[in-house]
Amino acid sequence: MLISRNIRATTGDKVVSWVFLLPVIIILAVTAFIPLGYGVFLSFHKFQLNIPNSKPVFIGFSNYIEFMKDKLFIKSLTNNIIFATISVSMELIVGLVVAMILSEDNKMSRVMITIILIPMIIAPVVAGTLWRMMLDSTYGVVDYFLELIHIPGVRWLSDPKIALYSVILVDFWKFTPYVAILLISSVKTIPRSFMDSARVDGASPWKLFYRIVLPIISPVIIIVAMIRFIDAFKVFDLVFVMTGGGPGNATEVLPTYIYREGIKYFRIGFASSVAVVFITVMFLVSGIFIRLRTIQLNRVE
Amino acid sequence: MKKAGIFFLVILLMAGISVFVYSGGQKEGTGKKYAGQTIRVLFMSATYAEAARDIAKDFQAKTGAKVEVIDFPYVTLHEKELLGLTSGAGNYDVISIACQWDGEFSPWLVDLEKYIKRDNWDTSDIMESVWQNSGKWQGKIMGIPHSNTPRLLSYRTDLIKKFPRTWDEFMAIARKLNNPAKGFYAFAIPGQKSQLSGQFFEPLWSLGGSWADENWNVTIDSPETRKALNIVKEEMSLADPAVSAWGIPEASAAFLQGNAAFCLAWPTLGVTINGDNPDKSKVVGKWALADYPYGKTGLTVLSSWDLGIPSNSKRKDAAWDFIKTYTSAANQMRFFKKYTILSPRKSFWETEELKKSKLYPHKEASDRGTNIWWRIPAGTAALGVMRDAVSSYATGQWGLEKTVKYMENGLKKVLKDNPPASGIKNTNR
Repeated sequence: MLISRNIRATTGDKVVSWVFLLPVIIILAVTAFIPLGYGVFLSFHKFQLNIPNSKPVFIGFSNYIEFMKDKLFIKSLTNNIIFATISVSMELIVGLVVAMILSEDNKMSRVMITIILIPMIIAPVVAGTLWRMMLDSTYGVVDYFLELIHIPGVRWLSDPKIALYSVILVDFWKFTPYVAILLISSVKTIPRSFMDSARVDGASPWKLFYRIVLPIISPVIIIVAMIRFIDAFKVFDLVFVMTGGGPGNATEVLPTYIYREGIKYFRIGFASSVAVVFITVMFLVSGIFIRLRTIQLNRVE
Repeated sequence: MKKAGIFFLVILLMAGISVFVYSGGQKEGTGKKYAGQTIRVLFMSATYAEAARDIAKDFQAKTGAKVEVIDFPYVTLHEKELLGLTSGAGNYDVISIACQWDGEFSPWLVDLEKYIKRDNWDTSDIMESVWQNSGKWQGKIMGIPHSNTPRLLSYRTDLIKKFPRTWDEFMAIARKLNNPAKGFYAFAIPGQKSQLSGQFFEPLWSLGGSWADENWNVTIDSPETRKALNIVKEEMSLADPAVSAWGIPEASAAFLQGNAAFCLAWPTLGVTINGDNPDKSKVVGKWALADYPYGKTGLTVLSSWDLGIPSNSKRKDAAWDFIKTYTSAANQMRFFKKYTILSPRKSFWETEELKKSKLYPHKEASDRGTNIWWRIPAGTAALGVMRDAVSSYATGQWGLEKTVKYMENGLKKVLKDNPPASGIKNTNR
C-alpha cells in the first residue's frame, strides 16, 4: 500500500513536471527545432528562392561537396578560426588582468567597472561605424594621434594583410569588458580565508593568483571562453559594417558567406548546408568546452 | 413607468451621441477616389524616399489615399524587395526597382500596359533608351522609370583644361597630376568591394568588352578585360592608399576638400549636391562633370530606377495613380530642384535650366549610350563574382590571370546554377 502510494506520487510528480515543461518545449520546437530540421532538409536540396514556383529538388550531398571545394568557403573558415582564436585569447588574458585589478570592493573599482562597461553597451553596428571612421588612414583620429607621436600611420582597413586584425581589435575592445565582468564576479566568490591564509604563509601575489585564484575560477574561464568563442565565430555585424568582407575577400567570414549565398543570391539549399555544418561544429566545440569544464570542476573539488 | 421612460431617453441620447461622433468628424478624404486606403511604397533610402514623402500629403489630399513610405539602404534593398514579392504577403503596393533587378522581379509584378492603355497615359516623353533598360523586360512593361543617371565622373576644371578623349590620355593626365608628397592624388575612388567593380565596368564596356555574348556564352576572358583590370589597378595606385576602405561619401569628401583631380564616385550622390557649397567644398566653381573616355563604344554604366506594382497588391489602382504622380513632368522637375534627381523624361532635358546646368553631361552620356549588367536572376550572383575578382586584383591579392580565370569560372557557374529562362537573349553586355 505504502509502495503503490509512493509510485503514484512519483508518477504524479513526473506528469506535473512535464506539464510545466510543455510550453517551453512547444516554444523551442516552433522557434528552434522545426526551423533547424527544415534547414537540414533543405541542405540536401537545390532550392532557388528567386525563381517563380521554385520547389526544393533533392540533390543528396552535392551542396556539401560544392562548398568544401569552394576556395571562398575555405578562406572564410580560415578567417573565422583566426578571428575567434585571437580575439577570444586576447579578451581572456586582458579580461583576467582587469578582473584581478578590479575585484577589490572599493569605490574606485565600482567606478572603473561602470566605465569599462561602455564598449559593451554600444550596439555592434554603431561600434563598427564609429571605428570605421576612426581607423580611416587619411581622415581618422587613430592615425592622427599616432603621427603626432611620430609613429607612421597604418592602413587599418585598406591593407588586406591588416584589415582582419583591425576588426579583431575592435571586437577585443567591445567584448573584453564582458569577459572582465564575468571573471570579476567569479573572483569575488573565492573565500577571503583562502587568500588570507596563503598570505600569512608568505605566498607572493603571483603564487596567490596561480595556485589559488586560477584553479578555482578555471571552470568559469572555460565557460566564458566557450561563450565568447561561439559569439566570435558568429561575428557578422562588425565585419559587414567595417569592411563588407573586403578588401577582396580578406575579411570574409562564414556568417558573411552564408548571408551572401542565402540572402543575397537566394541559394537557400546551399546556404542551409553551410549553416548545418556551422551549427554542428559549434555544437561539437561546445561539447568539448563543457567536458573540459567538468574535468576542471572535479579537479577543483 | 417613469424610470423606464428615463432609461429609454438615456439610451436614445447615447445612440444620438454615437451617431454624431461617427458621422460628425468625417474621415479625411471621404468622398475621394481612394478614401480610407493606405498604400505602402518602398524606395531606396535618401533622395528617392524623401521625394516620395514630399508628395505624399498632396497625393492624399487629391485622392484620399494615405501614402506610407518605407525605405531601406541599397545594401539590403534587393533582399527586402525580393522577399516582399516572393512571400506573397502583399506588404507593398509600389516598389522602386533598380534596373538590374528588372528581370528577376518581373514575374511578381503587374504588366502596366493595361493601365497605360486604360488611362490613355502619354508615355511619349519617356526616353526609350532608358525605358528599354529600366522598366521594360521581354515585351512586358513592369515599371515606369523615375530616375536616369548615367555614370559620370567629376574633375577639377582648374587643373584639367581639356578633358581627355581616350583611356591612354586619361591615365597620362592622372599620372602627371598625382602628387602624394603633397597629399594630392589623381583619383578619389570609392574603393570598397561593393563599389569598386563599377570602375572596372566603365573601361570594359567602353573598350568593347563584355561578360557574355547574346547567347550567354561567357566572353570575359579577353584583352579588353585585362586592359580594364589594369586601368582599375593603376587608378588605385594613383589614389590615396586609404581608398580601398572608402565608400562614396569618403571619396566625394576627398574631392571636395581639394585632394584629388578626378572623383570616380557617382557625382549625384556627393559632388553635385555640395560642390558649390562653400561650407562643404574647397573646390567651389572649380569642378565639372564629364563622361568617361570614349574607348570603342562610348558606353557608360547606367543607374536607373523604375516603379512597379507587385501582383499581390490589393490597391493596384491607387498604386498606379501614385506612380503617375511620382513620374509626372512637374514632380520630376520638382525632385530635380530639391534632390538633384535626374529624370528619364525628354522634356526635362530640353528645359533651359537643365541645358545650363552642370548636370547636363548626363544627357550627353545618355545619348552616347549606357549599359547595365545582366538583368536576369543570375545577375546578382554574377555581380558578386565581379566584385570579389576586381577588389582582389586591385588590392594586389591576386594576379591578373588568376583574376580573369576566377571571373570566367564564376560567371559560367552562376549561369549553370541559375540559367536564364528559355528564349531570353543577353541584350546587356
